[in-house]
Formats: sequence, C-alpha cells, structure tokens
Amino acid sequence: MNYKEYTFEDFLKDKFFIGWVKNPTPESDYFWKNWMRQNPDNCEAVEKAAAIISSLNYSKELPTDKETNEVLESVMVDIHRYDFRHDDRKSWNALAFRIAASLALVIAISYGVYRLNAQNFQPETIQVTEAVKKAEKGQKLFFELPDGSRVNLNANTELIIDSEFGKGNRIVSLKGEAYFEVAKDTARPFIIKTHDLTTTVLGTSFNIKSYPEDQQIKVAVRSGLVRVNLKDSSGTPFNMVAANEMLTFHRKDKQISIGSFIPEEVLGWKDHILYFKKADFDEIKKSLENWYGVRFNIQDKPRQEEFTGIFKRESLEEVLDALNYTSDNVYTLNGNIVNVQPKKLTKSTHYEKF
Amino acid sequence: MIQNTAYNNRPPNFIQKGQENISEWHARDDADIWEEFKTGNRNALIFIYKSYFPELFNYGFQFNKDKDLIKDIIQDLFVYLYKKRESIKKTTSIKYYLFKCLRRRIKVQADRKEKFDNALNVPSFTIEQSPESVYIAGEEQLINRHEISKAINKLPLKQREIIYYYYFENFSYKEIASILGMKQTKSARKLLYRALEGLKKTMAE
Repeated sequence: MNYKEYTFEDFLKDKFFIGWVKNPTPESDYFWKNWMRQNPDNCEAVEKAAAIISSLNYSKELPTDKETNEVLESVMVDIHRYDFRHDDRKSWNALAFRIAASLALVIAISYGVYRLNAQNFQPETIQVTEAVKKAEKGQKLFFELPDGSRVNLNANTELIIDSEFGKGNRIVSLKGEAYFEVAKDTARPFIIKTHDLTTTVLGTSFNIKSYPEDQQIKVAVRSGLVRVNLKDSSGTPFNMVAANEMLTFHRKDKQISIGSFIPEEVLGWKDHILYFKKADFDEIKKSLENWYGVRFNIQDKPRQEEFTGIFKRESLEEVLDALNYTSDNVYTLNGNIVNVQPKKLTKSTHYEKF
Repeated sequence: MIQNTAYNNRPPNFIQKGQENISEWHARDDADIWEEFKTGNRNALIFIYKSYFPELFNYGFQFNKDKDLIKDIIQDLFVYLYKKRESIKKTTSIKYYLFKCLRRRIKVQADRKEKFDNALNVPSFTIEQSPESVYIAGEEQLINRHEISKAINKLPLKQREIIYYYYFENFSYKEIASILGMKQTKSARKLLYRALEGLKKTMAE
C-alpha cells in the first residue's frame, strides 16, 4: 500500500482514503495532511479523487419516527399471531386461551356474562367474616377455599379472603408468596390483589410472589391463563400471562417484563424444595430466614456469595453444611440463630487483589 | 432473573417504552446479537429493527420511490426472518445481511411487476445534483460536481448500485459481491473498476 505510487483512480478506491474524505477523524486528518505535505507531487491526484468522492451525495430519505414505529408494531403483531398459531400447547389450552381472551374483555366491561349465565350460578358458600390465613416464618400452609380452590402459602405469607368471596367475585389479598389452583368458575373471576398488581384468573394454576420487602413481584403461570394489571387501573393496559410464562413487575420503575421460568426454581417451594441458583448473600439470608424461621446474626460484613443448590425436605444444618463447603463465609447454627462470619483467609486461600 | 433460558422472551402485549434495554445491546457485536435473535429473543429483534430500519428504508427507497411498498417489503422481511430464524445463516455483519435480503425481495417484487428500475418513473440510485464546482490546485481543470452526478446517473443500474454500496454504505467488495449475487469477490472489484472507467469516459466527453 504505497500511496506514493497511487494514481487518482487508486485513491478513488482506497477505503482508508474514502473514509477520511467522508468522515475525517483527528488521526486520519493528521495522516493525510502530513502525507500531502511530504508528497506535493501527488497532491493533484489526491484532490481530484477527494473532489469526486465528496460529490457522491445520495439523496437520503429517512422514515419518520411514526413510520418506523408503525411498521414495528405491524411486525410484532404478525409474529405474535404466528407464534400463537404455531404453539405446542395442547388444544384445550389453546381453546381456553381463546375463551379467556374474549372473556377477559367482557369481565373488564361488565358482569353481563355473570348475569346471562344464570344456569351456571352455584349455591353460595357464604363467609360471614373476613378470613385471614397466615403462614409464619418457618411454616407453610395448604388449604382449600370455599369455592374448592386450593392454596399453598409459603413462609411469612398472609392471605386475606374477602368477606364477599364467592358472591360475584372471588377476591383475596396476598402479602408474600402463594401457589394457587383455582377452581373453574367463569361467572366469578378469581382476583388476587397484591401491593401493586391485580391478577385476574381464568381457571388456572400459578404462583405469585409479592413480599413487601421485595423489589419485584412475580406471577408465574403453570397452566391456563391469567390477566395482570396495575392495581389502580381499571383494566388497561393489561398483560396476559400464559402457561410457562412469568411476569415480573419492577416496583421502582414500574416496568413489566415477561419471560420463561424454571418450574423447580419458582414452584419448588410448595413441594418443599429449596432452590438456590447463583444466589447472593442477601438472597440466601432472606430465603433461609423465611424457610426455617431463623434469624441471621451478622458480625462482620460477609463476603460475596454465588450459591447454587437444591434441597428437598432437608434440615437447616444440611443446607449450612453445603454452604460452608464452598463459601468464603462461615455459617454456624445456634438454636434459632445463624451466625455468619467471613472466613479468615490463610496463605493458601489468599488471592491477589486487582 | 429467570429469563433468557431456552424459551422466548415475550414483551407485554403493549410495547412499553424503555423496556427493550436498548443500551445493553449496543455493547454487543453483530454475531452475538444475531445469535440472540436466532434464539427467538424478541428484544434482539426490536433492537435490530430499530438499528437498521432507517437505513433499510433509505436503501429500499433508492430502488423504488413508493414508500408504502418499501415499508411493506421491510415489514415482511422482518417477519420472515423471525419465522425462519432457526434456519437462517449466522452473520458477522447484520447490516450487510439485511441489505442482501432486502435487495432480493425488492427484485422478486419487481420481477413480478416487470419493473426493477423504478416505480414512479424516477431512476434508482441517483445522486443529488449539486451546482458546486471544485478547483483542483495546480490544474485549470474544474471538477464540476454537477457533471459527476450527471455522469453517475447515466451509468447502468448495477454500476450505480456498486458506487452506492462502496461509497455510501461502505460495504467491502466481498459483501457487495454477495449482495449482488456474484459468485466471486473479484467480480465486484471488476464492476467498480468498470463503473469508474465509465465515469471517466462520460466526464471526458
């Protein structure tokens, strides 16, 4: 690449040269200006090529933001439709989705369906007072609601059953984590209120995790379909969450995302499976305090954790053993208290800081 | 967060602002982003769309001034790529790949209508006429920009195209050869040479 021997046509085709003519950077500018100073005989070729290159102005026709967004929306609608038609779901699920989708709108607008379906009306099971079900730390509960729906409550969870439960609506309020298997009753939507979100159920099984201290609320659907909207809004915008999907609501910025989930990780708790996946210290502490009803006593700032493990109906000692094996902290159990201390680094465990 | 596993990430029914985490995608290279797209990650799709739609629109417009038609073709292209995402090739340059696909689609469209060079009687890949002239130091020859654009606009379509790809979109010979459906890279090199020679000739007249 000896520029000294370049003809003007060679300059015309040289990418580095072209780049400098069209988008000079301090480096390329320095190079070429310097080169031209040192090779005055070649200046004419350079200038001729530069003149031609800089005259190649194609008319730029850019779309408006509106046009860009419109086409994008059309693309998204098309792929949604495509995915729905090509889903591997069982046909009854697909049917339920179609029924539910149309039902959801009806429910949002009025209770006309309820009134029209008089023949579906079931005898009322009246709850006179508001019932509260509470699982303490270290405890789990499993029980049936008046309509036959079954509920698992995870530790440190409270479920308030509305006094009007069964009449027109089936409303409960949740603080914590629960797994629901909702009995089908298309005339009476099952509604779960959590701190920021309202979840309306259409005969399904799913998990809601909404602890007050968490930054996120998670609604994971195992089968069927639920509709989730912000607590204060009457209906729209809402999100449909279908089987194998989990909706995550970020409380701080009020953003919603929907993705997949690993069933053992999210639902395992109701089968007494304790699941850690790259859990950091805070997560370990929160999980163990809730699961076993213990309290953590932290003496010095603990070292970072990234713990992965699955425990089925195992004692806390066994979990702590597993932790201690790989952790840079030391966990010891004393009655109801777990003491945590960072491990003292000996010469053999000392690593370089960078 | 338990996302981005083997399944797709689905954005909510109403695409809400700021959810695509666009800034995170900017740091990744093309091959990586394309891989994500191939797994069905819709955020990757949205990022790719937002990154390249304006350029694709501009490119399509060079062929055919019917904006609605161009928008439809690009829409179909993205839907098609999503549907066939598992079987489409890997790539290290998304822009080149999208341009290649778009050109093919426009050609198919046009072949059906027996029109490739223009829809509204405006030729493709034309350069804006500019009245400026530039003096070349040391010579009394005036490089007239107006003359240059006129000369380029007289070239055959493929030569006009290659000038557009090489100088405007900055594609390499290899990419251009692929976009134009040429079997060898050197065919592209020859074509550019021919285009520049043609230019020289026209200007000398």
